[in-house]
Amino acid sequence: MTPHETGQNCLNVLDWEVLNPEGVKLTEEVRINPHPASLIGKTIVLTWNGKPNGDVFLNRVGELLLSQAKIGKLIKLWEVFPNLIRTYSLPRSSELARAVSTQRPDLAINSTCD
Amino acid sequence: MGIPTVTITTDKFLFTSKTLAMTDGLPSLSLVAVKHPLELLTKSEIEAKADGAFNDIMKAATDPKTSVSPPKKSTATAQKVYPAETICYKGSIEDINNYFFEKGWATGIPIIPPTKASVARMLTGTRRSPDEVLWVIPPRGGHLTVELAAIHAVMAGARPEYMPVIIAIIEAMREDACDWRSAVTTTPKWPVIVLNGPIIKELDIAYDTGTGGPGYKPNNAIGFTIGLIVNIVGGLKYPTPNMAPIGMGSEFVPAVMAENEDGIPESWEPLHVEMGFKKTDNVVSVKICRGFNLLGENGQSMVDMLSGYAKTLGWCRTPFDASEMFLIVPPQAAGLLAREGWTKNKIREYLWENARAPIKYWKRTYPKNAMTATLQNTEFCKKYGPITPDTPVPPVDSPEKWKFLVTGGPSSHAFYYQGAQGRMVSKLITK
Repeated sequence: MTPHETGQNCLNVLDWEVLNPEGVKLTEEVRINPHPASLIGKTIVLTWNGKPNGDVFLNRVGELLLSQAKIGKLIKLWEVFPNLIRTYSLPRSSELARAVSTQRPDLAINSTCD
Repeated sequence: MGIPTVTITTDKFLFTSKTLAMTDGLPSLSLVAVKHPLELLTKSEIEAKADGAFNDIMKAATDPKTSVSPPKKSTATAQKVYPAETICYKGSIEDINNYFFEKGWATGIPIIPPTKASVARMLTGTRRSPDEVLWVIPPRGGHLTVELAAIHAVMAGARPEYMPVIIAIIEAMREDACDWRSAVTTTPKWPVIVLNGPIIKELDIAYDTGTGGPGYKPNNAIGFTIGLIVNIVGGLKYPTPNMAPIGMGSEFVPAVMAENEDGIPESWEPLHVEMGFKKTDNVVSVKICRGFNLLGENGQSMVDMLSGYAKTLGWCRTPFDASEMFLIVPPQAAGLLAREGWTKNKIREYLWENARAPIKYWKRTYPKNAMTATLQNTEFCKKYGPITPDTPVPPVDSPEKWKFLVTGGPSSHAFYYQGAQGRMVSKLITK
């Protein structure tokens, strides 16, 4: 029987020169927008992505922002742009970002919960 | 836009969120994790979670570190995307397979070790430069060069002549319209790949019984190559960052099919012609899908059969989605439909009108989700009236979102892939 037939080939120790299949990852870090030092008097946008109960969570966060953080204005984006609650795609995510900017907020808080 | 953000996620999804943020160059993105889940909890339970997370949200919102984060190069800048690193390894073929798996360079199916010689041979199948970057693949953000595509083609047992097809598939998947980045999140999804044109017979791609299944080397070697590329270079790995609760075999080896061009009724255009190409062009079409099922209702006429299809399809996906549904119709069924005067567009209109389910059964959608809000302002409402709980709604947002492929062996059954995010994208195969 040949080595192939006995399966010996699978056990033969060989010197391999192979190429790394992982692919290099090169990412340039993007500057994060400066955050405010305090939220007092600020305009805050809340965005909900339509996942179940994310709106309930954000509603409570909104209450706390108004009562404890003394923010100036709270905008629930899903009430202003109900058609942008569920984006789940690159083009619609860009639309959502543009919609946030129309509100000229000092900060946006996004819920991506599940 | 200059607006700072705080993103809230559940702890189970934190790694996925961080991975995607890193890929987008945002390692300092302000993320706040709350204990999973939020779904199926009471209002008071959810509010307790918000109360518990509020200090972290405030800290992230006003974190001074975020205002001084300098832009900087990643630590990987010293590495070059081309040529791929050469690795010397001593051991048996079993040993090197285990080594690849432990390094995260295999998915669990054995691979052929990509030696320099075998990769050089694979590259003879394309005129593209080996250092060309084809795609930076989410979620990991690995740079896929032509050389790297050839490495994976070797690992998958492909032949050099498959390289133009593999590259065309990559060119389709990298399009924003295909939206691979949005698709690869929390449910198992994979590219469904279709070939059209003379290349089907040139490469002996299976297009009759069992196309897309086991037993056909070109279909499966090409599919396995794509599976390796998106899993290894794209880093689409379980259990993180890929959070789909269960995986599917098509994530290892995506289905590669060819249209059964010999069996298409004369009155029907092939898929690639509908996608804007000439009949003689060699074309690959890719649609990101999830879920596959049989449409098996038989009847005395094709209207009976279509009615059966419509009953299933009306419930097959959340309503009024912008993504396509992909129907696979075997030549026998297509021929019978055509004989009774059913064109593709007539079938689309039939399904648009009949494949529907009352919106009230989609609890995530009705009454407060965006889909309902979108529906209220569309042509759909102008034609069918305001949305009520009992309004029947289709799974697509327009009739043309029903895509058809005629393929496979003898059967009157049809099949469907549930389309996920993104649209079908077609690309010319150039040798």
